[in-house]
Amino acid sequence: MYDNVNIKHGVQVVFTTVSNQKDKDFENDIENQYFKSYRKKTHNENTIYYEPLKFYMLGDYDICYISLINNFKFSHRLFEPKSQGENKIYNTHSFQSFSGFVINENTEVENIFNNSIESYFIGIINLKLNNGLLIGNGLDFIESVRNYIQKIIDVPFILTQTFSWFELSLKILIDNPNKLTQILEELRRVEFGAISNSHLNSSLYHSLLKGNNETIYKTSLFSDTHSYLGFNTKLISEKLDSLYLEKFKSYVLENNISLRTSIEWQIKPGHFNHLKHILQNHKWLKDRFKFDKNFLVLGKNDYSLKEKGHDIMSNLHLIRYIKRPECEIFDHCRKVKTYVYLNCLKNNSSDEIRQTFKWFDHLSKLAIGSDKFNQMDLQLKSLKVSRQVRIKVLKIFSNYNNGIQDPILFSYFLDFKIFIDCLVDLIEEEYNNSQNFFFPIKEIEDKINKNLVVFQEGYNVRFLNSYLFENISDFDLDFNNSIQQLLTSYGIMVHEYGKLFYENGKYGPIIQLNNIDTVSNTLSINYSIHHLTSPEFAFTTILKEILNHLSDQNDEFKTFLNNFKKEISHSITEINESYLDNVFERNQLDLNNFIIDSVRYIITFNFDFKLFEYWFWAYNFQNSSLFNSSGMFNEEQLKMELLRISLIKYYFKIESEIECPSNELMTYWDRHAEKIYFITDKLINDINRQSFDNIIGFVCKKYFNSYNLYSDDSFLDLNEEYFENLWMQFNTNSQNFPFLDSLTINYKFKLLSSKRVLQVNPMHDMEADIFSFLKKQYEFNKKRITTLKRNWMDGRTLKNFEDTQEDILYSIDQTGGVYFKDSEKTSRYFVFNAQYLLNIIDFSFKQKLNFINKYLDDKQ
Amino acid sequence: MDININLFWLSDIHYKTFTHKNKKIVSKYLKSFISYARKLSNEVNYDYLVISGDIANWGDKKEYELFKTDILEELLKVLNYPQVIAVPGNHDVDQKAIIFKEEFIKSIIKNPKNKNRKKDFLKDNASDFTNNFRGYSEFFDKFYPNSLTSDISKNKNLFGYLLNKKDKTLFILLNSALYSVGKSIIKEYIENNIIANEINKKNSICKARQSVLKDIALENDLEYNSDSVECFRKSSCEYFEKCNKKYIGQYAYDLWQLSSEYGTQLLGLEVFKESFNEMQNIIETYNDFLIVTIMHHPINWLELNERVHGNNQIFDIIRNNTDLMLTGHEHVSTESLSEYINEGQLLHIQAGQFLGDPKRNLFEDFWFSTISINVIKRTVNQKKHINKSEGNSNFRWYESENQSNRKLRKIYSQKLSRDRFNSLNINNIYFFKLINALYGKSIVLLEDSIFISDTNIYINVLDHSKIFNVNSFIVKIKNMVAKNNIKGVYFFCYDLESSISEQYLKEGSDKLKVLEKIKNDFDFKFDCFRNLFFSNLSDEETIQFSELYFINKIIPYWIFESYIVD
Repeated sequence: MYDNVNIKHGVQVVFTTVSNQKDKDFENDIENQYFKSYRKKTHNENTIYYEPLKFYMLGDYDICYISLINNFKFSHRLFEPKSQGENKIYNTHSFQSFSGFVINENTEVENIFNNSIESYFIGIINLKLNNGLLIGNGLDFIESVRNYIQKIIDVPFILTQTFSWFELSLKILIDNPNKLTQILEELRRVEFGAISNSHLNSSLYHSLLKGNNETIYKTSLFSDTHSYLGFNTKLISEKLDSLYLEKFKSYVLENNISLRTSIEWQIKPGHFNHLKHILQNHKWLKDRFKFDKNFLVLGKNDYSLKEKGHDIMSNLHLIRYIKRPECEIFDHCRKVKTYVYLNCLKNNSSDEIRQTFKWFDHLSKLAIGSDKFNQMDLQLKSLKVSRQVRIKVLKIFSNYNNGIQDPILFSYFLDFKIFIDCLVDLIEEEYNNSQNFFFPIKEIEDKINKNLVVFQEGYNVRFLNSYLFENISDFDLDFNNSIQQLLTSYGIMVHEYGKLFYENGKYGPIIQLNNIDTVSNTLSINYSIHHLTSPEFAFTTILKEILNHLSDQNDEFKTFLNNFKKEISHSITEINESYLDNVFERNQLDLNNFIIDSVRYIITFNFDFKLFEYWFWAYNFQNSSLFNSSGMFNEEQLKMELLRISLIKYYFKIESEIECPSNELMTYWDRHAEKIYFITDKLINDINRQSFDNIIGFVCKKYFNSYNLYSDDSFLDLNEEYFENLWMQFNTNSQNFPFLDSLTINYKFKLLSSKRVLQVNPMHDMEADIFSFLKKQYEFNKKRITTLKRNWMDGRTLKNFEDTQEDILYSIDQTGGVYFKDSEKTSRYFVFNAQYLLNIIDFSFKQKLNFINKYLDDKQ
Repeated sequence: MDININLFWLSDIHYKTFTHKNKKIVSKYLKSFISYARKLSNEVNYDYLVISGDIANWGDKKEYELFKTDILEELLKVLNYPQVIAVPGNHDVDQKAIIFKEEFIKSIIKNPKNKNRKKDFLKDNASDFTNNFRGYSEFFDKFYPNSLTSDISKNKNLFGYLLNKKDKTLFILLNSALYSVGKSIIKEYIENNIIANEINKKNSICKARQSVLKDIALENDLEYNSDSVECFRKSSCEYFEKCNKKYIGQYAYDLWQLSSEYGTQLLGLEVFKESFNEMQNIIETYNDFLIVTIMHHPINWLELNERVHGNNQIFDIIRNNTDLMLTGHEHVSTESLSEYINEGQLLHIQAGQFLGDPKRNLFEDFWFSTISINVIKRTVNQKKHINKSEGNSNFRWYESENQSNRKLRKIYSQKLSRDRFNSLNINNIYFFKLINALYGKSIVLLEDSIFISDTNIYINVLDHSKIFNVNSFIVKIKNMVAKNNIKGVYFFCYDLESSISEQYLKEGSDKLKVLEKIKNDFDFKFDCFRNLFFSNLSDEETIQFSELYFINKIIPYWIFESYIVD
């Protein structure tokens, strides 16, 4: 978490093309239907949120919208105009979007959005931080960079920490493009020495360069910058003789402002003369182009027209003309793209030649070497899998190698490291097997194909929309906003958490964006996009996602589970109740879930049944796939969920009653609750508790084994409340649960009572955060589930019910995530969640150091 | 949850006046039994006390009185007064009451070749036959009629049916002991004909016969004296059993065959036709009920006429519709297993002897059963309870390890019969009783079809189209809720009100599947109604009704039929 950054707002930036660039409807509908209607719907009319700043851009995209937001759900909406009342077809268009936290002074940013923008230009610089400095240092590094940027910039600006492949995005409001040049040059030049302090000594560079501070000080803060220039919308929309434009023209003249550009026209074959004719007859454009100096650009065979001079007015007039209804350019031309060449300010440049860090020497150790590559090829051939499958596997290795050795992208490609290792293991294992016995090729192909699908999906959302593909916007259907940072952060968290349960460390499922109700496995964990920015839902189920497949990984656990299944079958016969039979026959009694829920109850929810109950229902109620089209929770699903929570209640001998979480469920509650309690009670009484205790004990022991004592008395920043409570719960429950007793003895919890210190694995610290986060939200919501009321005939929210939800932070929305009654609550949630999201991101940046070092060390 | 019924099952008690010495032992035996029954009753709630015949030893009225004071009163008390279900056994025939012996003998002699002569005789002397059970009949007058639908009392408590709509169970009680008069008749014949002749011409008794008589006397612990008439009398039956017709003559042999118990018992299916027709009608109407048939003799003790498939339609119907048959008489041991008969569709369980003559039996031979039946799953669990005595004094009861879990295998039709359908008029549902049974609450009529209790309203939805589709009903509910500080509104819908319920009447219908369709239909209408209610509230009403909940109850006919008022 940041020390001195007060996170209050979010920002969404959208770059969009307007293919027929005079398509006014597109812009109006975006502004009205995408922004304004959302603003109204979310009660933000009197706020500065969702009212975008609009700029006309030079480059790949035509328009940039920058809006202040207080809910990341907004940024994951489809950026598409939704015309109301008439049937419109919009011309082809594409967009790129990213979002993040505002990390410069909030008042400065609020001023920008509160007042009309008078600056003539916007400069946008997306900054990829140097991974060598970022990994290990985490947010401390970002905060130092932020402080440095604040210091050097003397124009209004917005600095955001993004979820995209670049960590920072700087938006500066300027009157002169030279200012952009100046800032860009300065940022590209700045070295670590400019910000270095004692808090920043944990970086990857520090580790790889073994404390060679001199070299480290000379390293750049940024490894990549990506810049855009755009015009204030008033320059395009206001009349030429308006005061604003008159002032601009004077300013240009007075300051001798020029802009070197070249314009690439994607002209339809045979239409060049038409275009020439149009431009030559345009009042303001006729003398701007050298028609005798046109070039054919290879590739797509576009034309590039040279400008006469570098008058910035020519760019302005061109955009203004394009936007006019009578503009005929697009009858002959598909796209107009302006390349901008900023003049370097020579007086600021330095002649010094830096010693460069050779990333390749290190990152190559993470790659698949040619020996291994050839071995895989031969083994796949030997396995006789289809050529297509073999080539795809090799392409995985090839793509992985390209990414993992890229100094900018390797940080995201670390997500694939364990996956790749496991894939290699799989092929080797199958190959070895094939030397001893035969099996259907289909089996191995199926296994490999599962890997292929996971890689393909994971690769797309990380690699596309990265700096290598800046103008490509054709992504996965789930993808509307860049989220590489979130994917990799959750990935590291899951890996670190999983390490506490999976001994060999080869646990690194790839975080995917997928349907909400998919079952995770060793290869991937699927999250709803909204859960990535609403971590409460990810936290609630994180242990479930991790432990889901423990039985596949651990033979001892599998044996426990199989024996227990037999016992359960026997109990079911003994209990002899058709309702139980029915539940069993419909697979509604999932023992794996029972075990995992028990572990979650102990570890994630710290024996707090009411908290467990709250998040259990909260998660389910925002999962639309559990509902019927009538808006009612599916009856069979309710049975299943009620059985799950009921098993926890009866097994842990919880005295408090399970409460019906919503009045809308009362019909089904009335039909099933008593029956479920009856069969659960019978089942828990009938099963051999010892065997179940053994299973829970087995899983918990793995976890608690990771608690180690520090040999000295140094004290880590414990979340005392969490650990004290955990200790208390263990003591309270140990009489009922022998396995807990053995844990308390064996795993040193008793030392807590004497205030001795545990070495807290960073994951345990994170876990304490998770508990505190879930508990606080539960308290914000007055410890009760409130669902968003909708008119189920048309799906619209029932506004009048919002007044009855005054006291809570949010209600649960059946269509996914949470719903806020007003902007104030949305902002409260935003601010509250921001610190936990940033904790995850910080955790990830820091933990990556150990992760990468382990591999680099292994190879040395 | 499932309907479970628990039976406490005694059989073959043979209760009589014991000698002073035996009485003491029997008393200890019974005391320990009652104490054990109390223990069982603390764990299981027994719904029925089943006695499958031979309560008394001689069918004597006094024996029943003794049985009542020594066993039954105390047993009923510790079992918390379950419903008593009993059938008579051969020992329940009051031998002194038989008045038709001479007529019967004449009838047999008159119609040597008539295969139906027993049935015909029974038909002509039906009331005399039933009179033979007078001690039994009078005794059970106290137990029938009961609250359940039954015709047993109409049949002098000897047979009939007992229909429990709530438990979805039909008990068929059969009297297989009508012709358990054999020995008495043969004795009569012997006394009147053979013995008199023998005595008169005793010198002419052949040596062979004397030798047989000696053996019989020895076996029966009788003092042999060829001059003793008593010896002749006491041993005559056994004598006949050991002889063949060439010694005793054709008529005597014929008579012996007809009056011996095995394979010659009649249920009187055609004699008491009217009652059995009613029974048949009940069986066919409640075809989805679990049917438990109880009779003293196992089926193979019945005469061929009645028991062979196709010979008797009524018995075929009873047998083919019976899920579980409980019989006594054979005094089987605890090792005896239950068996599937009737092509594997009928589970037959036999009882052991609960008590007998202590002189002749060991107490270890005596046992009884408890039976738990899951009516919905159609599973049966039999537990056998045996005792161990230490020198016939300290009795200790325990559960035998030979318990069995069986599945009832009868394939039954779930088609709703038209008669039953017609009888299920939802307008006649006793709504007060239904609510009380489901929620344990007493309700008060608020207005037409709307009732109130505490903070809930219960709406008896007799026509859902008049409720779920009518806006005015929303207004009505709002007013009632506001006026009475209501928290929950319960809608009680009945499956037969839906047009989908016609599918219940189709051959091969699966009632649960039909109910599922009806439920989905009603739930959808209910959801729409609730949505309409809550989506059109004013701001003020929203606050007022924000905690209000609606519950849609769908009551299938097999539940509400117990609450129909005739």
